[in-house]
Amino acid sequence: MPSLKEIHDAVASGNYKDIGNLVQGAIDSGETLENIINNALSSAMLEVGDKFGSGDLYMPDMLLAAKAMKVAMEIIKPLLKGSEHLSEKGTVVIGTVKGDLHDIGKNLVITMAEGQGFKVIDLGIDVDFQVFVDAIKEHNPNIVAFSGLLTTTLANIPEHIRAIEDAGLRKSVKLAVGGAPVTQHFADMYGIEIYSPDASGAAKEFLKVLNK
Amino acid sequence: MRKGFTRKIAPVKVLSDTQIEYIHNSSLEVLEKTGVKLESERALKILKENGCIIDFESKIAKFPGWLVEESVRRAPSSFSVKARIPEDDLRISMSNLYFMPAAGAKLHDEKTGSLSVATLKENDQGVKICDGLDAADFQASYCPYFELKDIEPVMLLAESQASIARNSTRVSRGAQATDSFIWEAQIANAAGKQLIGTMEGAAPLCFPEDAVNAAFEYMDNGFPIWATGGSIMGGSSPVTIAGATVTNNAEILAAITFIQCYRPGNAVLANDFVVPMDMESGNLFFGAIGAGFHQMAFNQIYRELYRIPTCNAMAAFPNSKLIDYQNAFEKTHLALSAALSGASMIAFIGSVSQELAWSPLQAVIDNDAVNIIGRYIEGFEINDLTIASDLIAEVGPSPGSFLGKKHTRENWRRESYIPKTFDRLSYQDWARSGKPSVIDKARNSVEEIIKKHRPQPLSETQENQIQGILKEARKYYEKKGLL
Repeated sequence: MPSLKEIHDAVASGNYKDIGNLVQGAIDSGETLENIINNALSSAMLEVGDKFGSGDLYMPDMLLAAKAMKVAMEIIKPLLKGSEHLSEKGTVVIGTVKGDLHDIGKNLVITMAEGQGFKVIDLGIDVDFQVFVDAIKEHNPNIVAFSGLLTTTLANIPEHIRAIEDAGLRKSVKLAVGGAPVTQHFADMYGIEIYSPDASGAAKEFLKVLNK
Repeated sequence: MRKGFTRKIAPVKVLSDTQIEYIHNSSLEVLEKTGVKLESERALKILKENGCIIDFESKIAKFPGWLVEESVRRAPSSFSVKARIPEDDLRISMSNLYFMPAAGAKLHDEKTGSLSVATLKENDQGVKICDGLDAADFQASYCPYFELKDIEPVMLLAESQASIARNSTRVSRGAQATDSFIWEAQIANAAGKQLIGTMEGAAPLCFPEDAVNAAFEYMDNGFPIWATGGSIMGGSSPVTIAGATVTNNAEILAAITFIQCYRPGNAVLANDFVVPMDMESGNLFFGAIGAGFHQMAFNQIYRELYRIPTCNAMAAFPNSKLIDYQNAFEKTHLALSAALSGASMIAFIGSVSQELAWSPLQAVIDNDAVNIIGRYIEGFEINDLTIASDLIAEVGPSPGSFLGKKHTRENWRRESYIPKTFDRLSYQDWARSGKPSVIDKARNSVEEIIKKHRPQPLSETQENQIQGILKEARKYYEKKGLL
């Protein structure tokens, strides 16, 4: 039977080729899903996030770890049946704001958030105001996250917020914002609850706000 | 016409002929097999009529090699761009080199490195300072600041182009975001000048709708196009210099093919802005050697194979947050390698702190730097007069001296550029005069430009026209719900 440590190490090292067999082997041998998720997969992603934050791992390492995590979750998810809460700490709707086509930062945030057990709905790039509103109605997320690289397109964020307010959905979600030109001051200016200066910190901020 | 710097030395090569062919063939393979996405049905229809295979659903165009090569042949190897005054017209070619300012989001404080949002008045002053620099031949778009305190973000590009028209007689670049090109082209026409209009991709292998619409508008106005891919090595292109060269080349060749299909002979300035990703942070790794090699290879391919002039924008931004040694080194090695390998335009002047800031002080220091970098491509004269054999014989061995000779007096200035901001004092004089730094000297230069430089103002009619255009732009964005 593959040990939890082997599964943990496979995710942490981005071994997406072997992780499937390891997870399946553990399940077949009677390991609980809760144990696999909490004590192997999530802990591995947490470790990867910390090592990325401290400069011991780099972005390709993190993305490969996320890929391994995804392969593992594809095996686990269909077996959860009603106990999805084990794997999901909350739902995040995320997109790059209208007019902006940059998605590297957004994708990193998704990687880290999924690694931490969030269900993430990725709306993609150049996302229209209404698409965010529709996604909130459909997925009932805890967090709506805006990403933007261009100072000029950050101008659209107040419009995004207004659209959410006009739809009467503002109180049901926490808002998050990130991107190179974004600052805590910018977030405060528009009453955005979550800001992280980097992708690795974003998922931690999500957890912090939801645990409050 | 602005002279810029005249290329008299052979460009430095980093590729062999077979390597150039290898990259070209690989680029054609990408264009033929993978294709490039153009988010414009109008553009896709034009490409289809010209022989491309189009999937209208995915918006991907696949380009036959013969069409790409034919399009490259149609693009001129040199072209003129009209400025507000004839003295500032540009002749962009492979035998000369111009420099331009970079743009930064905010105003930089040289003492603390802190950033603050500039006002429109400070932007006007920044434009005027660039106009007062002898080596800033061209103004960027959203220049120098691209965040202004008293301007709504959606009006920024139009207001910025108006600020350039009012405070500078030089040619400028037109931007592409949120339909700004409509107003920017109108402002340029009102000011009696041309723009070089941007068509900027969203790598990998994609041109968004704004980029294509901007290209249509600028071409309809008879303006040259600044074709650029703008990928991040390891993010939106392969991490290897060769791989990133191929995808970036495929992107720019796709743009050139579209441009030449729509308006045969339309001038193109092929811009190289491909920056490695910093794998520790996901930030752009400005000042990287990979960026240097990338633009050197790019310049050689476009010069030797395509005969299309190039701009290099990698020297435009330093990672350094200060006016310091790192800033100078990151920018200078990239600008120098760009100049030596054949660029026709280099973005350089005034940038601090990645793309986040611009500094008037840095701008005047950079003006000195580019005057030296540019001189490298002019080489030095070798003839009887400069060798001065007779004089060498006349002065003879020590204690003979050349200092008091007419030849020295007549030639010393033109043999070296004399920087205005760099400290050249003896230690004693430096200590006596209060130990001025390069920043102190730059401050004096900035003050002098602000006090003395008076660019030719717009006529009352031109100013009224521009105000009318800005009013129309506001109405347009109000109607779209963006104001």
